[in-house]
Amino acid sequence: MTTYERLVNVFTKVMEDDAELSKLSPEADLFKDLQLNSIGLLYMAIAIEEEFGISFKNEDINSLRTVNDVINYLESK
Amino acid sequence: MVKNKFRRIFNIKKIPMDLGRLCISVLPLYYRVRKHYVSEEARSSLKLDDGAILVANHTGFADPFKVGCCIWHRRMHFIAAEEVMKKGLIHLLLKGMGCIKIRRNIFDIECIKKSVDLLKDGYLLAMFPQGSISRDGSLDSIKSGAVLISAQAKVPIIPIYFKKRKSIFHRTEVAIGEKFYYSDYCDKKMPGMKDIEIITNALFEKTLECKNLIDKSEE
Repeated sequence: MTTYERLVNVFTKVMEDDAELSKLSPEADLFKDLQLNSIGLLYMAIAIEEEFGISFKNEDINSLRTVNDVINYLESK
Repeated sequence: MVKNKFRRIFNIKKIPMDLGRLCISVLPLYYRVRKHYVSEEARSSLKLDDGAILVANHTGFADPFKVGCCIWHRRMHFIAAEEVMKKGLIHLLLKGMGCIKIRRNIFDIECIKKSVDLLKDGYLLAMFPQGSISRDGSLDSIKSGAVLISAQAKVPIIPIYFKKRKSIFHRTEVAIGEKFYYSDYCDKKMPGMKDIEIITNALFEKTLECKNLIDKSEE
């Protein structure tokens, strides 16, 4: 399973909204396309931490804008 | 469990917090809190041994002390905005008393994690999820951070409502609602964003129920 596929699983569990999930792609903007609000992003980050066994810091999470940013971050860890 | 409880009660790191609690131990005499309970079940809400989140409306800077008056026998942590904790002496005082700083202009995941850890260790956490102060006591909406933290730490939420007293000669009326767990509304191991929204609405309704109880008692 690629990082992107694992990430899609996490997004599917957390978001549950088909309309927003249909916009999920590596280029998708977390806020504009996936409609994440601040709590949504924090929740997503917690779910990603559980799935990938990593720990986000404030500066990490505040630099994420697109799904690609998340993939790059995860692959750099 | 017993070891955890012992460590929780006798903890050197919590000495500043206990000294702070000692200093403010006269506050119940000043606020003269009168508790109302929405139901018989709510009476047992504050009889807690483990971690829980107390969610209250925000009428002023003294609200943390008022929550403290309701459940004075337990150490309690608070979440406070970074702006409040910026200044030197106040920062030290609030930090010593167990305040957790939240930065509202960024996505503060470290604050969420710290809160979850404290709750898992069995401490109480008081939150004012309206996000800003509403001096007239009105309740428009509640942000979902409290529910997110509760779902992560798997601890109950207790809704509380304070009525701002008219003068220092009046008593502080407090209504306490029934505690509930996120699992009462969602049977999934990990609730989705929609579940978080539904539980936040339920929390808002429960806090509103507390407000109505106080309003009714004053009629």
